[in-house]
Amino acid sequence: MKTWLFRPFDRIAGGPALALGLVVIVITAVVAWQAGMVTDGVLDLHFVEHTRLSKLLAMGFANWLLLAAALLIAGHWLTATRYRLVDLLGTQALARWPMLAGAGYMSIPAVGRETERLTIKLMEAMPSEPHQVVASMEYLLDALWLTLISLPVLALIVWMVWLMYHGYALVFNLRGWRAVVSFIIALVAAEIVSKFAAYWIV
Amino acid sequence: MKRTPTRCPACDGELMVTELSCRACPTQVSGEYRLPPMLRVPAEDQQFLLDFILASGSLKAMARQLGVSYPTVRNRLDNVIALLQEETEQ
Repeated sequence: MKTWLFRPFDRIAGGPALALGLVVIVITAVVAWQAGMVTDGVLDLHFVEHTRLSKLLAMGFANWLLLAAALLIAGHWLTATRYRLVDLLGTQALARWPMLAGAGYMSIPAVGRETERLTIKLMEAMPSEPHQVVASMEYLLDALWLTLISLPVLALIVWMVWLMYHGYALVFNLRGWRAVVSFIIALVAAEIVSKFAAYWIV
Repeated sequence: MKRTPTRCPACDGELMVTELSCRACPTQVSGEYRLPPMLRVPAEDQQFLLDFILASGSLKAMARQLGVSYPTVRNRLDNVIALLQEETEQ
């Protein structure tokens, strides 16, 4: 069980992982669309007014492919082993499944409503004057409550990043600081490019 | 079947063959012979290499047989190759 949760790619990669991963990306887009959210970045899940399902699907595939491309460049440069592209694409697609769980959690009506309400309230309370450093203390409880509600999604995103790293390190047989540093650089680069891609898609 | 010990149980140093006996006649050969590199890697790696050869060198077949993914088997093979390279260079 522990292997399936934290090191699933020791057991599954290649074609089966790719097929499952593609299903995950499509279902995530549908769930997010129904709940009024967008995955506008490799690691992002936000509420929006309204977006077409086709755009959410495009964002889902773009997020997956952009990270895979960044990891391919890093991994190809560092690895000494022969790797299969299908393993990279498969593991990176399937690694996105916690995002589906996150979208599912946020689509629970009570959670979604409360998150949206608190976000709007806190955004409005943000300091507008230069001499105001922090928002008023009366919003502290709201901020804590929003953090608490968002905690499962944060945990799921951390888990997703771990799965992405595990897939990358396994496919290119990388270990140690070279694997960690190159993964972080690729992830940051992919996140930045994916934000532009999301902007372009929308 | 008994496993051929490759490391000294007392100090973990490399073991050598000092005597060989013919299975058909009483001839015995004495000397100092290093084990071939493939016998100097750990027993589980020897078994992995044997399975790999019996699977006609197919990593896909090995992955199916071991119930793991293709890159996991390929990485294991990479690790054994690295060990063998070390042993060959010594």
